Amino acid sequence: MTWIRFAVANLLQSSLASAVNIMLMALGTASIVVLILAGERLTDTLSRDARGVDLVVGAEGSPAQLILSSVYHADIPTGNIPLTAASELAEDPRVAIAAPVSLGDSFRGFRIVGTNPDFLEMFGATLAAGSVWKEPLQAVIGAAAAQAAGLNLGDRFFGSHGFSEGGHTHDDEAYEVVGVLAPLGSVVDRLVLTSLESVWTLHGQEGASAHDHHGDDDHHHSDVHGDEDHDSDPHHPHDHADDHHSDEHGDEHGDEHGHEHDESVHQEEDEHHHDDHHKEAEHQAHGDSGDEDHGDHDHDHDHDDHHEGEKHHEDGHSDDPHHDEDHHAHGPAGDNGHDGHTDEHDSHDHSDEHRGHGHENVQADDLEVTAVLVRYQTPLAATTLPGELNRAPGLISASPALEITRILQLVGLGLEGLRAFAWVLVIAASLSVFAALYGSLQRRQGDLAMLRCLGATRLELFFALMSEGLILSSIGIFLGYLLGHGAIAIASGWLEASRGVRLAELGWAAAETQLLFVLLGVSLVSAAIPSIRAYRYDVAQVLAENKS
Amino acid sequence: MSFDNVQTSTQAAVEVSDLRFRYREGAGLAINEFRLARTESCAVIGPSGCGKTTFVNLLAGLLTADSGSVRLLGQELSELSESAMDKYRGRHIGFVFQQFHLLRSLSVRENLNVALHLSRSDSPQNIEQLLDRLGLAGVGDRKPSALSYGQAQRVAIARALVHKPELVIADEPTSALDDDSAAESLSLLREVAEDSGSALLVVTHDHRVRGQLSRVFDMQNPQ
Repeated sequence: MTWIRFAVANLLQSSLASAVNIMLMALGTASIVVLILAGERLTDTLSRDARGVDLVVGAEGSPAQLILSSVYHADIPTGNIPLTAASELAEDPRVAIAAPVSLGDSFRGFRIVGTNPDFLEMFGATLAAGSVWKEPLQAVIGAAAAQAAGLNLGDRFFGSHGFSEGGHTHDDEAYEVVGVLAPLGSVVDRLVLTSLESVWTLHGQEGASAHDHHGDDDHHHSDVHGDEDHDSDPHHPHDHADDHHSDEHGDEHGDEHGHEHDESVHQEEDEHHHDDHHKEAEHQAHGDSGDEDHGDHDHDHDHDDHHEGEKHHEDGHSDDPHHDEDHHAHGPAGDNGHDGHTDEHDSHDHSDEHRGHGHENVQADDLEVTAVLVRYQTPLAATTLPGELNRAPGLISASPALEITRILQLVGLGLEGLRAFAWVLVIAASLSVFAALYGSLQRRQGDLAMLRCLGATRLELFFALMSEGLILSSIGIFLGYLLGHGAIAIASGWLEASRGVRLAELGWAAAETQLLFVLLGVSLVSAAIPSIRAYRYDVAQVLAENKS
Repeated sequence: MSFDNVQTSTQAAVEVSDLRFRYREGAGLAINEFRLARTESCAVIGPSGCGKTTFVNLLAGLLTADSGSVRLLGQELSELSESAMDKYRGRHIGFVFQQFHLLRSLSVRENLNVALHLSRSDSPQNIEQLLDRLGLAGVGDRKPSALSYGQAQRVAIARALVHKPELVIADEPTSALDDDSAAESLSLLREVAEDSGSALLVVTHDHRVRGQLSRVFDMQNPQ
């Protein structure tokens, strides 16, 4: 019979009290472990997802919101900035990479990000299959998004407005999956990447409806994608789309087209002007800029097919025979009136027409993106570039590293509060162990005195009592770590499944080792006090008291 | 110190001379001479408060005398450190208390095993044989709470003798018993002690014990 076995037997003798003490210790430990792991995983996750991004430039607003929306894809954007700002950044010698991002849509909760291939370079993303988008409405899917949504190369899907499921679906414009990214273990895994033009195209159509069909709830999406000021923004790139919608619905055809004839004249007059801007836009959008349907409100009621044909041409897709055909077919129809228009409706794919819609009305200066992700060419850029950008009207720059620190400071305050509460639990558990041992000691004075009579030394009694306390605490601590890690694993799975947030992998945090020593120290103290009392027992006196 | 080197065969179990002990309250205990042979059984009698328990505690090394000599199996107890005394006691003395003090969390067999373990005895003992001898066959796995009073007392006797000590000290073993039970209990204790070759010292204020042991030591007249 060893002392450990004796201690276990004593604990089993009062199994309910032992179980309560163990659970108390386990809950206290688990609470602290969860807070440690949550804090460290949050830090690691935030750092990992922003790796490679030195600066984010976006519309004026909260820097934290800008970072959260553009880097972590966990908030709504602050607004839009001119594409020209992105172009200027890309040409800045202090900048190594400037990847524009245009947000607003999602697919089954996975955010659709309009960008250019620099985005892939910035995050070190590589293709597991397929290729990078070359045309509008071609998409490259992050590994996790592809797996969760069951998307493969060649599949088509419809994006929807907003960042959560249930938004209005762009059910007339399907994306085609042309590439799937290799897993990165970061937020990129859960993104759907496409060209800027894709986003412009879809938003332009929807935005137009908001202006043209007042009271049509289906098309009031401006708030969903964070552009709350669309109605008041005369340059907001949302127009035209519903003109086209009406085009597809017979009753309005006559009136609409009657009106279009007048508009087409203006459009033709505008075309030369727009051509220039489109070239600029194409340059700015890396030569793939054709779908800028972010036209002015001045043109929001036009939508003849002539425009669509023109747009395709100006999209830079003239090498595409189909586009050329569109152009040639649509041009005359638009110019010549309703008959031609009707014929083209019969013979052309409407989705293509959507893409081109309103293009002639777009001025390159009006093209917008949500933000630009910047990687510095040299660390010295950090000393000058942010200040310059912050002085520019309508722009704000934010450093992910700084914002992470701020966010963690804020979160840290909450975590500290919770951690203090968890420590209260641990101290309560330790006091409970202490009370249990002390109470047990009082009840077992005679037994302990008997053990001394049987030949046990003071140290052996001390060790026996310490063993009881430490066994209780150790089981509680062990269970607490299991519970804590289990809870974090479950929470991580839930976050990933329901919120799309993938936390960084974390096995054993260094702080957990420190915690273990602290907990063992607290346990030692709580067990030592009654054990010392047992050590100091006057056996003869105890026997005399028990006898009386 | 090696306790195994003690030559117990030629020594008295207990030898006391000029023993003096003063309580905190000021009263004192004085025993000029006491000797107990290895096969002897002795009743230490006297009224409550006369110092019987103090005397046996001094013999067992649970109290330290202010002066005088206490030799247990030839070993002067004052020469032993506290922990050495604990081990010496565990090896050479067996105790039976009125309250038994069986360890409640352990089974009967485990109670005996604890005593055997703490005696640091090298010679294996047959616990089952002892339980049989005391009429405890079949209760080895029971917890003390599941025993009758008589069974618990016999377990306490078994525990005191399991490691075959040279001296068995029984403190008021019959006080709570009726005449028949007291006689039966004392008879059993004496028999088992004799079987083990142990000296038996019974502390009691129960005069029924007088005639059942080989000698009586009256604390009121220690000479």
